Amino acid sequence: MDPRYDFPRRAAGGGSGGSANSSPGLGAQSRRRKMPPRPADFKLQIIIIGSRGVGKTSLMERYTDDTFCEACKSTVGVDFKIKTVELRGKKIRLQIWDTAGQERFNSITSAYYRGAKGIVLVYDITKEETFADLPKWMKMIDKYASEEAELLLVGNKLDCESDRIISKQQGERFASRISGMRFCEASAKDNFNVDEIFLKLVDDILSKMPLEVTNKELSGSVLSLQPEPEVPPELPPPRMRCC
Amino acid sequence: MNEEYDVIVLGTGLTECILSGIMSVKGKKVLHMDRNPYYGAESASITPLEDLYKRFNLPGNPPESMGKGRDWNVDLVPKFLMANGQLVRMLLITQVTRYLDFKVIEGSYVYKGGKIFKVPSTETEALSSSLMGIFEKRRFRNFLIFVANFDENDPKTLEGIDPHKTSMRSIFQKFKLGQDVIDFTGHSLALYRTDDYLDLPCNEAINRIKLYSESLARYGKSPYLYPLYGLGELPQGFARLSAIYGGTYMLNKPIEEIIVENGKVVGVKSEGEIARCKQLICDPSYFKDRTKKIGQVIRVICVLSHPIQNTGDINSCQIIIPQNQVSRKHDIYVCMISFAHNVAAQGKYIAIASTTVETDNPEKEIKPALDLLEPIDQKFVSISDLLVPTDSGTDSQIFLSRSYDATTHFETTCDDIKNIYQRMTGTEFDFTEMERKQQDIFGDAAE
Repeated sequence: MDPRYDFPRRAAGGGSGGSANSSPGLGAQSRRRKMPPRPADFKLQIIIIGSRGVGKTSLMERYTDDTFCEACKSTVGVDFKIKTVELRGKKIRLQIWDTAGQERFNSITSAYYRGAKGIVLVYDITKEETFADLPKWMKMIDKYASEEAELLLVGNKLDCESDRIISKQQGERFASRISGMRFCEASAKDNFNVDEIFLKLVDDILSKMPLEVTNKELSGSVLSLQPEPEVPPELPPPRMRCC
Repeated sequence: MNEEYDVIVLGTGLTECILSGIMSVKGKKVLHMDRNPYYGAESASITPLEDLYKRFNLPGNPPESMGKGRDWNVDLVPKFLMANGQLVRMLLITQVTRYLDFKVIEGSYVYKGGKIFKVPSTETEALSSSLMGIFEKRRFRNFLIFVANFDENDPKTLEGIDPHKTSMRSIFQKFKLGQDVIDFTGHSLALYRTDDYLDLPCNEAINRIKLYSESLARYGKSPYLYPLYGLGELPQGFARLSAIYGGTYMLNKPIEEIIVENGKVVGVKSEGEIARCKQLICDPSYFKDRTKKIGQVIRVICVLSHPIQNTGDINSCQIIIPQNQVSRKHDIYVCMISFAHNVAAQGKYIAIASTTVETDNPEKEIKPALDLLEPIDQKFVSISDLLVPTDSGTDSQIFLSRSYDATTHFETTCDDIKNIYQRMTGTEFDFTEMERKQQDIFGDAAE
């Protein structure tokens, strides 16, 4: 058991930014409520892509569980993580997908890109090759992702400022060349800007959606053969399979 | 590479991806590679349209009328999923359904006397169908009731017949069904492609009719489901399952050699490196020496700008051309899907005609099907060998799969998967083996 592994702190209510007003999905209290919680107004699929080791899973875990694991290697055992937020008066269930390690040998499935409403493209500000890889990821996005997907470029590992190789301007310039792509830098380790980036992304997605729900399920004839399994409420966040 | 694995899998076709998923979920260390830059191998959906043109050696680019190339996902092997069949069962038990959306195929049609007729999917349609006369319908209805109640393990339902001995022909005689009804039942419900089944024990045929009825009962319009974005989504879903449970994936990997020592596989060589394994699974293209050809299938992918005539403008369907309607030994199938399934540009339809090759002029054999589709904007013709393994893998621990056949759904694919599993582990396949063994969705309590 890694001593550096923080005891999981739920980002109850406050956290930082966005969903400050009564986030019913967060915190242990909601699980003990007798009344069934109001179902989500929207379900949004978000994917995180980028080269190996840039911190994709760390960003996700920081956002969904408020945890960070320094020593953890390639993710095994995570399909996606769910986070419920409230924005613009709507309750949104975010489904944040992990790459399942398939980026290791450039073998992410095209299916991974399909349903994503938001795409977080991550690079490591201390590793030049992860920035040089960005055009390759953009090619995949252009080929397989929905044209309506919101794009967000994130330069991660801001905590390693002293080892920085990629300047903020470089990141900004890359994003500016792609229509509609936002940019920011963040640190999963120090929990800097993480909530903001996800909430900004969701906000962008919502602002483009018509007022009524647009999920594919509502286009009448589409079948999902089985509902998503419920997340058991009492289990702690996962231990990563380190080393 | 340069590591030891429990299982190496070569080729990311549906069969291999499902097996890879099963092995990873069981806790095996799996390395899964494919020489292609895309998933799916022979069961892939090709995208963009430009790549399909290149694959079939058509010069130049698709015309502008084809819309955006990236809107296309064209299946190489035409099949549908039986709603109550084994593949759906595998999808449900592994929850690979999380990654997929489906639509029901809107109707099934059968060719008779030069025209196509709707295969009834409701009592009302059955009553008004001109596929059989009114007295025949009564007798047929009694037959269907018998089939629905039929249970091999309950003698009361058998009405004196022996499921493992009584021929299907005798069953048809018992219910006094005429030739038209027999043809219809055998080819449009039991989905046999020849008439060989008539003199075999009836239990298989009866179970096939049951599968059809049960599948039809689920969603109503037809017994078939189809995944949005094409059949190629299926292997990708299972590959993801395998990756989540630790499977390593490498596309674009040229395989130089399967290394065998003393008759047993020891590993795979690629780009100068060797990965070792205890067992190897691969599709026939990776080890042709251990396969034999048992036939050929012709498949013609047709792009249309209109739905098929006389189907009432639906956006998906199946057409069965029974062999005796066109003086052949094997049925011809047409599978049609469209932009409504995110496999084609707006307003476009993809109809794939396929059949087992019987002569040295396969394109002529398939003409009756193509005549139903005219006008055709563009055709892509392929004639593929049907390969089966000659090595069961008992000694070599090399487990080859079979080529995708000309049947219209995935039951034989699932049979192959179960068979390979049994060869690999020595135990009968059990669907519960596929269940995800641990929680892999996390987060706050849903909804």
